[in-house]
This record gives sequence, structure tokens and C-alpha cells, in this order.
Amino acid sequence: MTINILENEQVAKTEILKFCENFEKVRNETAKFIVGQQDVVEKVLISIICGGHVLIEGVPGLGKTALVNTLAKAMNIEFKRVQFTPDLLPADILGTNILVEKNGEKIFQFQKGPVFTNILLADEINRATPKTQSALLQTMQEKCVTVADHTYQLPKPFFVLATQNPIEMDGTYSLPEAQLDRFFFKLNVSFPSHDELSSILDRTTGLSSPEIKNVIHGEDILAMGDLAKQIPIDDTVKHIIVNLVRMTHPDSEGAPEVVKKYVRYGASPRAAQSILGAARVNALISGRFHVSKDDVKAVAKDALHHRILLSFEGEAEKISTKEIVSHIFESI
Amino acid sequence: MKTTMNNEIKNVLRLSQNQINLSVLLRSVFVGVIISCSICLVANIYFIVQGYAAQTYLYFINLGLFVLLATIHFLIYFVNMPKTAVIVDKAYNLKEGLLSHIGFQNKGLEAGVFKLQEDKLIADLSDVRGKSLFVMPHKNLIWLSVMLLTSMCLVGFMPESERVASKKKQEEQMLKITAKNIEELNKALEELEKELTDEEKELLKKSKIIQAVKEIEENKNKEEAFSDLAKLEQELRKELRSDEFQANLATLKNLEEEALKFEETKELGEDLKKKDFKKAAEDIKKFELDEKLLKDLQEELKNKKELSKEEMKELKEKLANKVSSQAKNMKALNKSVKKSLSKENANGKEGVAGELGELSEELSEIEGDLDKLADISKMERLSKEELEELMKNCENCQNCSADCKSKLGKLGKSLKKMGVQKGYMDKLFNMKEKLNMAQMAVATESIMSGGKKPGEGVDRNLTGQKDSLKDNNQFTQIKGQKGEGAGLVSIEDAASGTGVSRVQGKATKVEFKAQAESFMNREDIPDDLKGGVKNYFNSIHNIDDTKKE
Repeated sequence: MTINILENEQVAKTEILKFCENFEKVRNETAKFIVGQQDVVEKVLISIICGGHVLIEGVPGLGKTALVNTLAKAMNIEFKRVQFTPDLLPADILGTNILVEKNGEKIFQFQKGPVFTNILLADEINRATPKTQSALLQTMQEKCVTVADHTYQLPKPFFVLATQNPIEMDGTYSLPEAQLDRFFFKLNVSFPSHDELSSILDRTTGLSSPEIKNVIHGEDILAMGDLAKQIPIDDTVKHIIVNLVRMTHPDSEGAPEVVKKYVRYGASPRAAQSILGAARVNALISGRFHVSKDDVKAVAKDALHHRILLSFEGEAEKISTKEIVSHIFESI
Repeated sequence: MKTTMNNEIKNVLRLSQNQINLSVLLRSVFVGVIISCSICLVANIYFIVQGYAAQTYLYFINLGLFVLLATIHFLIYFVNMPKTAVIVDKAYNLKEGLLSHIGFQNKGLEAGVFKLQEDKLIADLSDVRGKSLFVMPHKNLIWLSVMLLTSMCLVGFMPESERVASKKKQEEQMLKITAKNIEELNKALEELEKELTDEEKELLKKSKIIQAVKEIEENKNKEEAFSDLAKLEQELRKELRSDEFQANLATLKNLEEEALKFEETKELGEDLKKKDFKKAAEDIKKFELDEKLLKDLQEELKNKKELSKEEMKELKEKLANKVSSQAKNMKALNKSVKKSLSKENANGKEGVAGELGELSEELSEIEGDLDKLADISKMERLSKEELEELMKNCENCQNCSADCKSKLGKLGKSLKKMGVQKGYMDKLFNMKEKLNMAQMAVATESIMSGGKKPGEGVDRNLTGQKDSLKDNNQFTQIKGQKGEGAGLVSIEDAASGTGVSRVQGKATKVEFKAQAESFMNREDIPDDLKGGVKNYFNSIHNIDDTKKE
């Protein structure tokens, strides 16, 4: 049941406090095992609260799987991992009907695939064929699976964390624009610093590894998502989000020169939804009860950059979409 | 639904608005000072470079400009409540808290999370209480404005150059002269009105001069007065160049030349020469035939078949003394008129020329009869037929005399009219001269007297450029009238041929050559040098000659 925080001050205060506590608990618990990467952890958490999916880009061995594993443990939710390979079929992910004998009768029974979980780690998603990649489309957007005229609802919360390796591009299939747009955030996992790497060594090469406790439950995450949706936003800030997304389109009025020159197609309205949702959570974890420009700025880059398609000139000149987003933000 | 804003937030907003606007006002003052002083300084430096002292009126303009600019600046940057909220948000790092709060308030959202938002805002604002949003203008702005203000004040003490001072003095003098000339013009106009006879006044009324004069009197503006003076001058010139008057003058000039050749018409000729047309009209009357004499003669001869010797003697005397003298006068007049008319084609002409033509016809007619009457004086006796002929002649003469009298009278009237016109023209000419003087004086105020005034453009004389006399189609350039009589410049004819005599120059050249040769032939000069110098000069002359060829 959704708790309304717009009417009662005390309820609002309690719920928001609880939200912040839960967020902090998960963050702290994750930090026990994941060294550094606070920004990535925070963004993944925001994305989970908002019901979005995250595409993480980074070289192997940076702790992507460990991050998801830790988060799942801390949030006490089910976690499954699928290694995407070129021979992986949609049925391998979604599940399929198999013939089983029940009470002497042979019937088709739906065998659930690994997608029926709370957190699905789609490792190296770009290695699978487009057919398999698109099998995730319905599940990511509608959070349900349809097999043989039968639709199966996925458990709540459902969160896809896909990874892709930016170096090894041989035998990979770039994610189609439609699928990229379904990712709430695209995050880059950077290589750890000297101290961070040293801490990683300390924590992972010893006899004992840190124990991750269940600090919240799946229901709490859903409640946190509902609460975040009620955080108010002033029209001025809302206009900033609208303008920000509109400015990514080279044909829009007042688009910066850099967009006109280097962008082929801008972000979809889904980007604006992602920014607003993420900004609301960001406002709450920043201790505010309204969305500010800073909240928008904090999440806009990760929500927009994978949704902007560069033109030939942009590709040729190796323009970064993040730079374009920064430029647009400055021009507003 | 709009809700009431929390008093604490409201107070902070008001206080902040006042502080920000005070900062804006102070900045406006300095910005106004910088811009207005810069303009004033540049203008004054320009005048100083031209040689003038700094202009006091520019300081007043500067003051006005400063007030205007400062006001404009203040109005542009004046902050209202929403703008203040944005500034306060930014200044106190409220992360759009105040702006959002105002937005929620305007929508009537104040419960639940909105109340929490308000409480947080109040708490944030209480943290920054005591901090002022008043900002002093940048020190560079202050320094610049102080420097400009000081410079402008210093420039005000710089004196004008001697050249400009002397020209100003000249200008003042010229202004005095101008005022005097304009006064004289007014006086001339008054005199003109007083001096004119009724007939002249009639002529004056017909022209547009009165209207032009009235316009000048009404005008206070110098430029318009100048324009009106030019208009008046045009009107005067138009009147003075009246075609009819000029044609009549030309005809009378011819008559004057011819009349001076005969003893009988010399008086008339001289009066015409003096342009005393009124007296000439009187002179013309003298040429009228004595009708009484002819009538008496006719009475005497009436009913007489033959004249006695005594009667014949008396008649001869009368004819010889009176009739022949009148015939002589008329002949001389007729000759003068005919010759003068022969100089121009009088056919179909109007005015004096036409009248002279008609008079000439009448005179020719009467001349024959008078000759016949005069011839009788040479006869010893008169037969009956001759007597009848004489009577007939007398009758004819009497008849012609009336016509001739009327023609002479008409000519006399024309001459009188010409006299009136001449007087009128003379007065107009006199007025035109005064008008020209006034016009010149008004013109010299801006062109000749000490250059242009500050702010009225560049004085080209000071920049070394010559002023070209341009016709601006507004003011008529004054042209000289071709006068009569000998000119001031006389050129003496050479001994032979025409042109300027060069005798003096040649003599000087010969004298100089002799001197040069005497120097060259001095004993103390070596022979080779004598020859060298001579050859040198000869060679120069040869070169010159070749060039000429």
C-alpha cells in the first residue's frame, strides 16, 4: 500500500527518514565489500528504487558482478546471472515449456528462465545475438514474460543490470537504440585508484571475506520507489529537465551549435522520466524535500548520454556524448 | 490557490530585495558617472583640440545624461520578488529551495512534504541570518568613475587658445555690426514708405515686397530671417529688372542720344541723360504746335481775296518768326524720334517705343503743312489760289496739331510714369544695397566671424581646409549689378596693337643686360671664365628656345 506523504507532515517526516535510513543502510552494507565506486553504487541504488535498469560499461574484473551480488544480499532479494554468449537463445533467458509427467499424464509445463528473479545480471550483453537481446525488451519494459500465449509476471522488484566490455568488440552485437533507451542509466566503472586497489586486495585475498547482511527487503525497495515519486518539483526545475531533453535534438529550437553539428538523434521522453525519477531520489538522499537543479545535474549525464546518437561528424571527431550533455546543461 | 507566505521567509525576501536593489542603485551611480563623464570628456577634449575652452553647457548635459543612464541602469537591473528569490537561492546555496517554496505556495501546496520543505527552508535561512546581500561596486568601477570625474573637472579649467579668443572678439564686433546693419535696414524700409509718393506706393503695393518685409519683421529666428532677406532681395531684383521698364529705358536712351545731336532737342536730350524723366515730360510740351497762332492766322486770312503789301509783310514776319521756328523744332524732334526708332524695330511694340512711333507719324504729317506755311514767307505775293491753299494748310495744321498734342501728351505721361518708376527704382536700389549689407552681416556671423561656434560643426579654417562656397538653394548669392560709367580698372593701349603695354618691361631687360655685360667685362675676371659664364647662359637660352619650339 502506498503511503501518502503529501497530506500529513508527520507521516511524511517518518517515511522520508525511513527512506534515507534504508538507503544509507544499503549503501553502507555494500561499501563493506565494494571498495570505492560510491557513485556507481549510488546510481545503481537510485535506479533500483526508481524501477529502472542499468547498463554498466567497464573492463572485466572491476567488480560488476560482486556489486550486484552484494546489493542483492543487502536488499535480501533474489539474484541471477546470465553470461551472454553468441549461442544463447531467448528461451535460455525467459524459459520454455517442457513436457513433464504429472499423475501419469504428460503435460507441458513452463520452466522459468533466469529472468524470473529480482536482480538479473546480464553479463556481457553485447555478446548475444540481437534476437536474444531483444528477448529482454519486453521483460525490461513491462516486467513480464509472454511464452506461448501466456504471460508471466516477473517478481517485484525486477532489475536488470547489464554489463558490456568496451574493449573486446570482436564477435559482439552492439545494443540496438530501442534497447539502449530502456536502460535507466548507463554507468562507467572506472579502474580503482591505488588505495582502492590496495583495499580490494586486503578484503578479497584473505581467509575471510566481509559478511553482507540483509538490511532491507524487496517490499522496502518498492515503498522507497513510491515515496520518491511524491517528492515535489517546482515548475522552474521541471522546465530545466524538459529543456535539457529537448536541447539534445538537433532540430529543436535553441539547440546548441554542438548538438546541431554532432548529434543525429536526441534523447526520448523516457530520458526525461528517468532524470526526474532519479533527481527525486537524489533530492531525498541529499536531505531535501524538493528537487533542485543540482539534483538534475547530478543524474542527467548518466541518464542522457547513452540515449544520444552521434552523427557521422561526431563519431569521426570522437565527441563524447557526456561532453554534449555538459554543454547543453551549461547553455540552459 | 495561493497561500500566505511564512513571515520569516517574507522578511528575508524583503530585506534581501532592499539590499540587492541598494547595490544595484550604487552600481548604477558609478556606471552612470563613467558613461556620462566619458562622453562629456571626449566632447570637451574635442573642443580643446579645436582651440576652444571646455563648454560649460556640456557639464549640464553630463548631469542630465548621468541621471538618465543611472535610472535606465537601475530599472534594467532592479530586482522584483521572484528575481530576489533566485538570487537568494544562489547566494545562500538553498538549491532552489526558496524558488520551489514560492512555486508550491502559489499552487496552494503546504501540507505534508511541502511543510517539511518550508521548515527546512526556514532552518536554512536562519543559518544565513545576518549575512547581507549588499555588494559594493567593484573597486575598478569606483576608481574609473573617480578618475573620469576628476579628469572632467580638470578639463574645465583649461583656457581657450589665443586664436579662438581673438576670433571670438572679432565675432562679437561683427555681431554688433550686424545688429547695426539690421537696424539700418529697418530704417531704410521706414524711410522708403515715407518717401514714396502715392503713385510709387501704388507700385509698391502691387509687388510682393511689402509681404516679404512684413515676414522679416515678424521673424525672430536668425536663419529664417536670413532666408527672408534672400526672398526680399529676389523680389527687389525682380522689380528692378522689370522688362517693360528696361525696354522703355533702352528706347529713351536711343532718343537721348539722337536728341543731343540737335540744338532744338538738346534740352530734352540732356534731361533724358540725367534720367530726369519728369523734366523731360515738361520739355516735350514745348514741342506742341501753337494752335492760337494758326487760329489767328486763319482769322486774318478769312474773307480776304488778296493781301496788301503791308498785310503780306506782316504775314511773312509771322510765318518766318513763329511758324518756321516751330517747324524747325518739330523737324528736329521728328528726326531724333525717327533715328532712335530706326535703332530698334518699333513695329508692334508697346510702351514708350510704340508711343514714339505714333508720334513720329503725326510729326511727319504735320511737318509738310508747316513747311508749306514756311515757304510762303519767301513769296512776294499771294494769289487767290495760294491764299486758299494757305488757309487749307492752316486748317490741316490745326487738325494735325490736336492729334500731335495728344500724342505728345501721351508721351509726356509715359515719361512722367517713367520718372515715378525711376524714383521708385532708385529707392528700391538703395534699399537693396542696405539689404545686401544686412544679409552679408548675418552671413558673416557664422561663416566669417571667428569660425563656427562650439557644437555647430567643424571650423574648416582651423583645420587648414578651405571653405567652398556652396549654393544651398536657400540663400541667394549676391551678384554685382552692372553699373554705368567708367570702371575702376583701366587698361592703357600699347603704342601699337591692342593689349597691355610692355614697354617698361623691355626697357628694364635692356638695362639689366647692359649691367650684366659691364660686370662680365671687368678686368679682374679671367678671360676663360668670362667666356664660360656667357656660354653657360647662352646654352640655357638655347635649351629654352628648343623647349619653346
